[in-house]
Amino acid sequence: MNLSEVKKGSIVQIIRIEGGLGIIKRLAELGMYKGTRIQVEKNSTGPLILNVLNCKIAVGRGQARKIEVI
Amino acid sequence: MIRCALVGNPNVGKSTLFNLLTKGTEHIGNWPGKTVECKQGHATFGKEKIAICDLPGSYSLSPFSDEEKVVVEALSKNNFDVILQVADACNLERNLYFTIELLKFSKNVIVAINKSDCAKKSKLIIDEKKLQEEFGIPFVKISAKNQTGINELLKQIIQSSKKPLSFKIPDEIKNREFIQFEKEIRPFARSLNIPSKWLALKLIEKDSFAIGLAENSKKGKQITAKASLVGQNIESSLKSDIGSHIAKKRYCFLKKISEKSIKYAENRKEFNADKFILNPFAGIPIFILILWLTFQLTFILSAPFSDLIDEFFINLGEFLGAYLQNIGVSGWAISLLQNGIIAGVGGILIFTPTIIILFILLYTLEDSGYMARVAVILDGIARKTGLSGKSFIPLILGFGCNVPAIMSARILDKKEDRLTTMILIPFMSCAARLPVYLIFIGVFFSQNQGLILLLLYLLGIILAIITSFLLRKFIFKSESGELLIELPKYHFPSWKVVLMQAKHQTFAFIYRAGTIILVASIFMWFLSSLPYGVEYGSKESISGIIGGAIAPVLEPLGFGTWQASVSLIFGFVAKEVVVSSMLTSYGVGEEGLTSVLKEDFTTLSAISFMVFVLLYVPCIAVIGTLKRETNSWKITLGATIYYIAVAWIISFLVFQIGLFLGY
Repeated sequence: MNLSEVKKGSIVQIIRIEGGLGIIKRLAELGMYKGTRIQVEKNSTGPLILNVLNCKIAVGRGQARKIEVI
Repeated sequence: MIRCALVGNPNVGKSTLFNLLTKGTEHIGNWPGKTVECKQGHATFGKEKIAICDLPGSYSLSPFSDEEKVVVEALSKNNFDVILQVADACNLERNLYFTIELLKFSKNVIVAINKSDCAKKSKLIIDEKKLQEEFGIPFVKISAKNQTGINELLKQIIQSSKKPLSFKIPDEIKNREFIQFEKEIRPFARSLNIPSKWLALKLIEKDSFAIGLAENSKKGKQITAKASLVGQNIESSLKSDIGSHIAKKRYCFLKKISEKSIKYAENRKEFNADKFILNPFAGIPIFILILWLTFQLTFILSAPFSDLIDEFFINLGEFLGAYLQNIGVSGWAISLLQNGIIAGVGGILIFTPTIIILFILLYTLEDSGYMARVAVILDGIARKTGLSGKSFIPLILGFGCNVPAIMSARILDKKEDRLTTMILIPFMSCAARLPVYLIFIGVFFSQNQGLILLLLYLLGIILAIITSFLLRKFIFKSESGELLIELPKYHFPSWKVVLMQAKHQTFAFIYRAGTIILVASIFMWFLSSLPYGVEYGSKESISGIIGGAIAPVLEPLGFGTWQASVSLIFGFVAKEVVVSSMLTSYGVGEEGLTSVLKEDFTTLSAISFMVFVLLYVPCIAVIGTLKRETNSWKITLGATIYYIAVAWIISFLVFQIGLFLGY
């Protein structure tokens, strides 16, 4: 499934990120790359709020759809 | 003198540390030698002097936004003796990713682990000796807030500047082809004074800055073609894209280190204010409430101070006038002083308290961590109009002053988003336009003053939304970028940082009053007094003739007097000048303006005039900034013409519809 479908509170692992080199690198700098575990703190309307390496990150819904997780 | 660059992720307390280290020596300017603009100051420790250049917050040396480009440009063009990275103790692992980037680039990196007081509170244990051992570079624990560890940090900067460090960072790519490629570009890297390993890595990562460097050189095409080929081969042998591979390698390395040196405490249950602030239903009302409170507080808190300054200038004018007459100074000189200088400059300085308080409140919102949330709250609305939620950060700063707001649009990642946002900022009514509204509202409205003001601000916002929609539909046709932003922990704003930023803006305002507005006021006085012999500020004076020539264009808007026309022309210089020039051309002080305005304006034409002032070009400085930031005359001139046209059309509609309705 993709990140936008994950329920609030659950912890998931990233398995694939779709997108150009620029966005993949930026996500990596924020701690999100293939293999990382992230917690979804909020997923209702608008951007998702994630907890990555003890930081809160807001990710647009469109971007979240491009992040495959299990 | 030791030259030190200050870098770090956003929201790690970099500005607080910079203020603490430089203690009032800071100024914004070009770093000596090279044209990189940064905030700079100096610190002294013993006999050594350390010049510090504060660079924008950044996550890596691969620029994602134009703001981050400033960092990598500054580091590659200047040979800094030391790079000081400020890292947040509470999420050190993520911060150390940037450290690795820096170490690929420079041998002299020091890490200051900031907020160590906050780490202690949340029972987080960091072994900086172990970190030092593993990385091979100095780590110093500090707290910029409590001012601890600063002397040790300065000592370390001086020590490190003397001898290059020997750090131990593993190579992410050990492929033979890559090593060969790195050897090939060595002469090129040396000519740029950049480490070849770093450049080789960035080139195969297709980093825009590195490719830009290569393309500017003679062998550019050859190098980038080779880089792309090597990159492809590496990717197929790794069975992964290079970006992910590098990230994985680095985080593996960091994980090993952090297991040895960082002990995380159990997660404490904290009060989560985001439950309310980011709530889909409550978020927007809370945002509007905060914005409304900001403006209300600005007026309530500043009014008594403004009245005091007002009284001071009235008394000063009368006192000086009487005194100079007594000692026999000629009439024209007294008129220049009273009608020109004191009326013009004094009329503006009255608003200093308003400006100070507005900026303090805006920067408090930014420093507390709320501004980043605004981007999240408004992202949904923003996307419908073709913007990104992040656009709202520069837009809200625009209420203070449009010039720094346009520059702060650099935080936007996508070019089209950035251009659209910059063009919208002038619709945000800046503090300089406030004096004009306050005077007109004071004269023409005894009730609902706050409401009228709010409606003016709203009109600007609505026109910004419409403009954004049009721009995305017809000119910058692309989807706005997806939101990706770190939400910093809420914290009590650092008053030192907030006050320093507010001080900069307020000084800029007072400086304008003492320079541009002073000159404009004197110039206006001459235009209103010449040719010799005419009555001061009459229709026969030069300004009367100029104003009279333009007045017919403004007639359908309801303010076709020459005084209004002249004041609007002078308003191009700076919006505050509209007030000053009215005071000079009517030849009255603040207190006399009420009666003359009531003669020349009706309530309806006063509204139309305020709308025009809101919408037509903010000032020359904004146009200059727009040109510099867009790097395009076409966009700048197009936008300028658009602002004037919109102003004329909307004022026309307001006035004519008002007349039709019988006002």
